[in-house]
Amino acid sequence: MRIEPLHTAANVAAVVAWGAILGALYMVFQYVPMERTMGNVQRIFYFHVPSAMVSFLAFFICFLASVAYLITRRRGLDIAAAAAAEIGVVFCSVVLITGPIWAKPIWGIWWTWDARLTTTLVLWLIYVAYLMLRAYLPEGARRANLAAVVGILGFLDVPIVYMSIRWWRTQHPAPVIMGGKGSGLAPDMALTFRVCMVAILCLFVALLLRRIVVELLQDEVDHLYREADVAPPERG
Amino acid sequence: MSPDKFLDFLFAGYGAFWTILFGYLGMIFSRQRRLLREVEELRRELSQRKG
Amino acid sequence: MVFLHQLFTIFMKDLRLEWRTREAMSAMLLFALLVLVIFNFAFNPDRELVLLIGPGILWVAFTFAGVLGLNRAFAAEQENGCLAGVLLTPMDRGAIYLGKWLANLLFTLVAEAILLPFFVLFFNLELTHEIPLLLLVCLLGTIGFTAVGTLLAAISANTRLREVMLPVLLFPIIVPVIVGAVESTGLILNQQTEGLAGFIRMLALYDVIFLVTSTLLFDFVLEE
Repeated sequence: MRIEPLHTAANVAAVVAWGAILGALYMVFQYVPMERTMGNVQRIFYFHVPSAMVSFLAFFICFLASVAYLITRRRGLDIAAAAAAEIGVVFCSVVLITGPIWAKPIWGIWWTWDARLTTTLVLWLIYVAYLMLRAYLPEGARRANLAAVVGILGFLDVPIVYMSIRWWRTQHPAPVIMGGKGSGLAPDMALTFRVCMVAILCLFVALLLRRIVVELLQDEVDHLYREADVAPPERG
Repeated sequence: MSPDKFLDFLFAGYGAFWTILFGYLGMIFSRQRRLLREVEELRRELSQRKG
Repeated sequence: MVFLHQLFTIFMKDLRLEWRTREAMSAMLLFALLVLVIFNFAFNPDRELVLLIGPGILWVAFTFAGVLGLNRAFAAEQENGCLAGVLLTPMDRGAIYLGKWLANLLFTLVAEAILLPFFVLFFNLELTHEIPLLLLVCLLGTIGFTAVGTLLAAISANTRLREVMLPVLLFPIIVPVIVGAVESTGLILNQQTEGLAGFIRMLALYDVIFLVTSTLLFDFVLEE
């Protein structure tokens, strides 16, 4: 695969993403009025929820790329799966950290083991393990195979985790949460939310492209080392 | 909770977002810079050998 | 028929190997016993507390011991190129997976069978007619985590630090098994039946899903 066109695409996507993020920040901090009951802290919602959606999307892409890799054996798909998983973990971390910051003043607690929160945490753990596995395996077709298997297994697990936690939660009464979020956002809030959704999506695409470019560069460096018959320097 | 505390939480929330984003960007771009340098060095080395 | 024969051959090979050394078995048993003892000191539970936290302690002991056994299963294959030898035989990859899984399942179940009386004894439980249901839950839970565990053990055997890699990969994926098994064990010990069928069905569903996908995916794990 040629790097240059992707490099250009990543640069364009980055410019678009920064524009969209600036627009989204204007909407969040200037345009949209303060939420009446939750106050200013509610403003994190506009980045928190899109980040959650994008991280799920990223893990889904990792799953699809893993399946496609095992069928076609194209290196590009392995790269896509790895990049998607890594960026999914980045957004998932954003979700897991901004969540409690929002939850503490609103619910009075940092964390509750409800189905959504727990599933997100388990998802994060699965994909961190996926990235760790990749880091511990020598680069090559074998790593791609093994990682793809974990990518598939991990994603299949998600609905079962969600179901099991929901079941578990009905056994133990949890604190009542989520009064009205989503259920009837005011029009200007809904608009702000949509703008933020688009902005975070643009950011995701830009990061994904950049990550793929870097991985292709790594491939090229490895290839050049082989060609020059020089042992690559040891990296941790 | 008082409004200024709410603001603290607000900035803490977006602060977390920026920290993670810029941390990751820093990681990616430092790696990219290193790789680009390596590509350049190796290419020079290879062309010198041929020439 | 050929498939079953191959499966049985692998199963017997692992059994014979374990019988000669008894390495995995003794490590699992001792480790699980230690977990029970340590948790007893950590919580110093009275009768009521035991009914509350006992199921959790039991399944922590089971799954941690299970990981030890699973790690051994493929570590032994990696030594001296044993796995390469197995792969040279004209065997179905699915049969290799199922054979190894059955062996792991048997080891873990035997360890659990020895451990369960100790659990009852240490925590002064009185069990009679709950036993069949409890055994069913143990069976379903163990099938679940050994099914995924066998596949992940084959994967982590390729890495450096495989002893760390297996639990890191396995535990997030078996969260539903832990939830289902701990909850149903708790319901059984407290002699409640409400909601029990749901958890048991969930465990069975998990077992079926992951046995099938693991059998299918194992082919890719062994590929050179």
